Amino acid sequence: MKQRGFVLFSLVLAFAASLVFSAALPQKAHALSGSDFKAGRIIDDSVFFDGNSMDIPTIQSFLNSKVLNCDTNGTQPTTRWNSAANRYYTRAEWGALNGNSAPYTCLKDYYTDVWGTSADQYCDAINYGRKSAAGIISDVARACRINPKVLIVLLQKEQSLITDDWPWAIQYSAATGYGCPDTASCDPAYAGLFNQVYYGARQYQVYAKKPQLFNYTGQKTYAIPNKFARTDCGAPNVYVENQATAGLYNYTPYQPNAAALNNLYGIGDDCSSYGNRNFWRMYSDWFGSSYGPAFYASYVSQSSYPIIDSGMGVSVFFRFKNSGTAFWKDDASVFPGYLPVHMATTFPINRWSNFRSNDWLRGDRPTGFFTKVYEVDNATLAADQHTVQPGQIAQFEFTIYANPSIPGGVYREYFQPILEGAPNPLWNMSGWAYLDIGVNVPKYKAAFAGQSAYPTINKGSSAASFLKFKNVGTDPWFDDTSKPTGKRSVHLATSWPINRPSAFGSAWTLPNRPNLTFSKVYEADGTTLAANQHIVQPGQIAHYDFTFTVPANTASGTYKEYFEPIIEGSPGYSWNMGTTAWLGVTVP
Amino acid sequence: MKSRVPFYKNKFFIIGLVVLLLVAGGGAYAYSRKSKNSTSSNTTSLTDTSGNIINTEPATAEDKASNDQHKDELINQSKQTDTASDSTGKKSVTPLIVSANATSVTAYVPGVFEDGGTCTATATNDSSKATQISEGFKNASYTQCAPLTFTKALTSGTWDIVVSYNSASAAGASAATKVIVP
Repeated sequence: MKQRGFVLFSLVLAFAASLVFSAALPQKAHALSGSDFKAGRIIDDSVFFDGNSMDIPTIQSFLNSKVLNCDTNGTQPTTRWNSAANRYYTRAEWGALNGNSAPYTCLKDYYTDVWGTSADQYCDAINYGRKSAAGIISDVARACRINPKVLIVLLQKEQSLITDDWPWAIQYSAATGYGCPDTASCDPAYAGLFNQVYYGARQYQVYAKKPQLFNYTGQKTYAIPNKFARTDCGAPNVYVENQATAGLYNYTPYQPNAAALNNLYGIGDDCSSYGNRNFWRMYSDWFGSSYGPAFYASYVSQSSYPIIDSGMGVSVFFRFKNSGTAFWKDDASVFPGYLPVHMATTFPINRWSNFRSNDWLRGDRPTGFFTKVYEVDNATLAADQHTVQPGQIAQFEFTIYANPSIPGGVYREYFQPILEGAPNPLWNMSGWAYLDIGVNVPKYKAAFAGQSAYPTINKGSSAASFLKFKNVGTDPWFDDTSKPTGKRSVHLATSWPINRPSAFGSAWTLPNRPNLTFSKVYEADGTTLAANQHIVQPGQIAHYDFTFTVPANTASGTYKEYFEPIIEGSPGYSWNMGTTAWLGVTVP
Repeated sequence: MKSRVPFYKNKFFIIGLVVLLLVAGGGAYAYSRKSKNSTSSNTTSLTDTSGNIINTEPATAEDKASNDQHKDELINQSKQTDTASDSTGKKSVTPLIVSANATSVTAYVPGVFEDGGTCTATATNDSSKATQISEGFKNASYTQCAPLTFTKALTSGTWDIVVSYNSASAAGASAATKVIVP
C-alpha cells in the first residue's frame, strides 16, 4: 500500500509540476535587450523610407488588435482616489477634471475630414476626403515615402495613441509632437491628426533632402546628449550610420543612456531620455527588425522618356540611391571577392531587350559602370566616381537603340540595379524604374516645289541657284541646327547616282552636299516665311540656296545636275524621300 | 517461483506514465493559451506587404501603464507655465550648440517653434572676435538655426563660441563652447 501511494503521489506531482513549469514560462518573452540597441543605427534607410509596407486594411487590423475595447464613455475606474465619493474616479470624471471630457475616440475608430495637400519637393499630393486614422497613416506614408510602421511608432512614442483605450483630444492635437516645443504650448497651425502625421512625416523628408541645414546627417560622428539641457549627463560620440537615424536625432535630439537601455521597458535614471529608445523598442516589438538588406537601391530620378526614330539611338540615364548598408562597386572598381552592381533589364529579370545597343554588356545588361556618383545632395560629385557609399547616388547611363525591325509604338522597358552574381534573392536590390520609349517609323516624303532659272556660267565663274521641296510626308524635317536627339537631318544631296561628286561643288560643304541647312522655310503658300526657319513641318516648303562654281578647265556645253533631299544616315533605302530635281548648267 | 510484480509497480510503466502526464499537462496548458488567443484576437496572422509578420498581441500591461503615465505627464505639462521672460517681455531661451569647428557652428533653440528669428554665433579669443548670423526656422519641436558658416575660418588657437538667439518673442544665449583650432 505504501508503495502504491508513493507512485500515485509522484504521478500527481509530475502533472502539477508540468503545469507549473509551462505557466512559469514568460507569457510574452521580451526578445529585445537593451544591448541590441545601436545608437548609430536605430533603423535603416531602406526600412524607414519604404512608404508602401502596409495598406489601409492591414493598418486598421493592427490598430484594432491593440485596443480590443475602447472605453468610449470613460466608465472604467482610474487609480485616482475620489475622497468625496469614497471611491476611485471614473475615467470620464478624471478626464473632465483635467479638461478632457468623454466621449473618447480610440485611434482605431477615429475619422476626420482631410482637406488634402498639394505636392511639393518632399511629399506627393494627398486627396481630400473623410478618412480613418489608418487611411491618414497610409496616405501620408505613400505620399511622403515614410514607412507607415514608422508613423505608427511615432504616434505611440509621442502620445501613446496606438494602445490608449481612452485617448484625450490633446493627444490627437499633438499626435506626433510636431510644432510642440518643450516648455511652451503647441503651434495651433499644425494641430490635428492629419496635420501632425503629415508634417511629422514630411519633416523626415526635409531632413533627407536638405541634410546640410540640420543638426545631424548620416555618415558622420556627433556627440549626442543623453538628456535635454543637462551637460552633466554626458553626450557620448555616435557615428550616425544613415539618414534615417540622423532624422530621428533631428526630431528628438537625445540618445538613451545605459540606465535607460538596461531597463528597456521601464525608467532609467535622472540622466535618461526615452524617445529614441522607445522608437526602437516599439518598432522592434511590433514589426521585428528595423534593419534592411545590405544592398538596397532606391529610385531617385531618370532622363525623360525618349521618342526616337526607327534605327536611331539615344542616351538615357537612371539615378539610384544606395539605401543599404554596404558600398557598391562597378566593373571599374570591383575587387576579387566583392560583387559589382550592374544595371539589368527586368520584369522579368534578365529579359533580353529589343532596345539593346552595341555599348551594352549584353542584351540584358545595359551597363556595368556608374557614369557618375553623387553625394547625398544629388548634386555634388563624390570624390570616388566608381564607389557608391551608403547614402550616395549612382547614375547609370546607356544607349537605347530602336532596331529598325521594331514597329512604331510605345514600349515600356523596365530596368533595375542588381548585385551581379549574388544568389537568389540577394541579387535583388529592390529599386527599379522604367522608360516609355516612343518609336517613330518616320514617313518622310518630299515633292518638287520650285527652282531657280537654269544658269549660264562662264568658265572660272560662279552663280547662285536654289531648289524648293515641299514636305508631303507626316514627319517634320530637321536640319543640322534643329535636329533633336533621336532624329535625323534632311540634307540636299547630289543624285543620279546618289552622292555623285559634282564638278561644280567646290564651294559646298562636301562635293555631294550642296547645303546641310535650310536657307528658308515657307508656309504652304510658298511665300510666307514659317515661324521656325529650321524645321519644315508637313505642308511647309524647304528652300535650299547653293552656288555652282565652274572650274576654268570645264569643257563648254550643258550639264544636267541632279539633286534630291535625303534623310541623312537612314539605313537601307529609307534615306530616299521620293523626288529628284535637276538644273541645267550651261557653260559657254 | 518468482512472484510477478503488479503492472502498476513496474518501473518502466511508471516512468512512461510520468512522461505521458508531463506532456499532457504541457499540452493542456498550451491548448488553453491558444484558445484564449483565438477568442481575443485574429487567428490569421497579420503580415506587411513583404510577408513579414506584424505583432497583433493586444496592448500589454506595460503599454497600459505607460498610457496612464503619459496622461499624468500631459496634466503636468498643462500646469507648467512658460519659462521666465526677460525685461523686454520676451521668453528666455537657451540655444544649444550641437557642433562647432573652425568653419561653422550648428545650433538650435529649444522652447520656441518659429521662423524668422536671428541666430548669431560669436567666436572670441584673446585678441580677436568673429561673428556670423543666420536665420532660425521651425523644425519638429524647436527652432533650428541655419548653419552658421564663418566667412573666414577661425585661425589657429582656442576660441570660445557662443550662439545667441533673438526674435520678436524670444531671446537668449547659449553656454560657451570651446573650440581648439589646430
